[in-house]
Amino acid sequence: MMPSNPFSAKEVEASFGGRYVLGAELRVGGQGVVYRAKRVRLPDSSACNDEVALKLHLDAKQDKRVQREIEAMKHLRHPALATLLEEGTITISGKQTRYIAWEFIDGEPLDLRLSRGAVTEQEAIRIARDVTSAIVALWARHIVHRDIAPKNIMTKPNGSAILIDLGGARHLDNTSITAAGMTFGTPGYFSPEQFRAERALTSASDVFTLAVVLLECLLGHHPTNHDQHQLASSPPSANLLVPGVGTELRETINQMLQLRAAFRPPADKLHITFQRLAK
Amino acid sequence: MYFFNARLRFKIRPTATTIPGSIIAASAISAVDLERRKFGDYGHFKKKLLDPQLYVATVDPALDPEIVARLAAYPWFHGEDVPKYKSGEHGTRTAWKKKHKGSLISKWTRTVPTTPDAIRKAAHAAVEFQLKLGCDGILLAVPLTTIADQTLQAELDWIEAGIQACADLKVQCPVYATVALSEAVLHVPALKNPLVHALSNYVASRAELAGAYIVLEQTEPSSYFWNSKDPLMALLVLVDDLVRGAGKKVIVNYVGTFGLVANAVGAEIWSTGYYLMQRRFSLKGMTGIARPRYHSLALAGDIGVKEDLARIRNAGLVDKLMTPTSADAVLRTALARGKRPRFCAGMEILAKQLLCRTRALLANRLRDGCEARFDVPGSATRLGSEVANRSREIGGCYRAEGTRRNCDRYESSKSLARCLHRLE
Repeated sequence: MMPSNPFSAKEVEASFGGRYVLGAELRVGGQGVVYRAKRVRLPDSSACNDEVALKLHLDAKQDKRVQREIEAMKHLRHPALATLLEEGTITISGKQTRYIAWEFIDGEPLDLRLSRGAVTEQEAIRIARDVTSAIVALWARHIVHRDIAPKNIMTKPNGSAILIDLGGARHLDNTSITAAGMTFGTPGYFSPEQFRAERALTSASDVFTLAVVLLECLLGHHPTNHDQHQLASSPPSANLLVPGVGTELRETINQMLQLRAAFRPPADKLHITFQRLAK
Repeated sequence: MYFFNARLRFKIRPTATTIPGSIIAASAISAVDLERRKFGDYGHFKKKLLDPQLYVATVDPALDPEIVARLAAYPWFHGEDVPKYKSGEHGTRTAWKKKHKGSLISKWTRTVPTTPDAIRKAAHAAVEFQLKLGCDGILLAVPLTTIADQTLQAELDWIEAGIQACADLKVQCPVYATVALSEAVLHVPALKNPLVHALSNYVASRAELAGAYIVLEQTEPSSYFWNSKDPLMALLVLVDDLVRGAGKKVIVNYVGTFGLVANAVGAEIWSTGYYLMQRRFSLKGMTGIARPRYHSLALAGDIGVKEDLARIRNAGLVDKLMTPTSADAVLRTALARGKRPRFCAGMEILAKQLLCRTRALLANRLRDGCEARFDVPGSATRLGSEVANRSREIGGCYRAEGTRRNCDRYESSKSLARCLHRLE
């Protein structure tokens, strides 16, 4: 059964004291609901006119993750990462609810784009270029995204991409909030070490996951049909799956899919490679 | 590149080729002595590194009081509280050490600092001390990994604190993260040991690190060598991950002449020495009786003289495993006549329990007269070219295997490990 939004738009707007004017409901999931909205006043009541993606977090169990996402993104400004504009807690119909207002990205989630088929090689390279730059920015702060998947990549009409949803991001200085033996992320996109529920993940894990996304972009479908065991034991070969794409891109993807994390290229070098390959 | 594991006495006998550098273990020499040493007088200190040995923090003072007294005076352990030595005030350094030995040992908590502030201070002190000493690289102080806990939180906290200290102190030389692993966490097939990959992955991911300084702890100190395959394989996998995978540098220590194999796989530096405490590391006994070993070029390793030589003879492996030199002619003749090595001239004494002083004298004698027979730097240098050839040969095996699957890549070292295992 599809999760439903427990609040009406009017209830939400009233709870914010009219600071937000809600538009379309963009996503509803078990953890929350996302609206396209217009922020007309800041918390200090000064006027503004921002297009935002307003996310209400409905699952109180996820509060720690939400807080971690807030901490990770509060002071981070990067063109390939969604910008956090405001966060806090409001009472909607008597229920304490965490919210985050993100900059609104006028684009399309990559999963929706891929539902229409594969992207071109250049489109894939541009996505890789932008996501690797986001991975570099996060890793500079010792943050691993842990959930790079098409649903968490927004593509803009100009071909650029933005990485969203750092709800599962792990800062190395923080203790784990994932139970021992459990892992966080999206099955079918786990790196081998993530699949083994290792805790000391690095940006190499995000690099592996991005390679899976890239293959999916080039194929138009998931490279192992979401078979996580295959991904973690014998990752697919770009040479076999997408023989038609450029040699350097295929070789780069194959390196990103190395089972041993230390053998994967670092994100900063990958970013330079994808920058060069992007025309 | 071979580095010598330096001890309290810096002077070593001249060798045919220069030893390019040394690693000074904090447990081998007290801070008060080390700070006053002149390194320029010794060729093997042309390059020097100081191992802060935080991984020894849990050693039992009842087992090794001398070592604990030395370590405790370093600022990253408990040395901050130790009164500074002043010759006018305290007399000789020996007198100072004697006076403070008891209080230093009593302060030994057998733990490492755990609060962020204490870690930051200790990590900073370790880096600062190495800088003042003029080390050619910084070895970050990191505790021993004894539990296969994949968060590696303590280890990573220390590495991060060390990296931060290097940034604060504007360190220009290469920085190596110490990876100190207890044998207890390595008894699983190395390629499937997540701990090994998690560590190499982490070091690989930190651009600030030039590489890793890898130390393995032997949980069973009765053995002179590593006699189980998995820990040795773990070492090779770590080296391979970091060198071939991530393009980092690796220094290995305390694996005896197996360091030569690690060197062939890609380690930049391997370090060992004559005595037990220079050759292997175990928390159950840092020191102990060091019996000279027969150094076999065929094995690129040592063979025990007490029993193993006889086993080799009985197995008909003399020609395969022993390296005929003029120096071991007597020994080989004795073996051929069916005599046990302990009855060979000059060998009988080895079978007895020796006093420390006698052992030191014996070691000198052996170095003088039987260099080729024993794995001392003298022998390695006299037979340097053969050792180097062997090293290249092993390295060639790895490169030749490089196109095969990862598991196969280690076949040659597996056979070597098996060989050592059988001999031990």
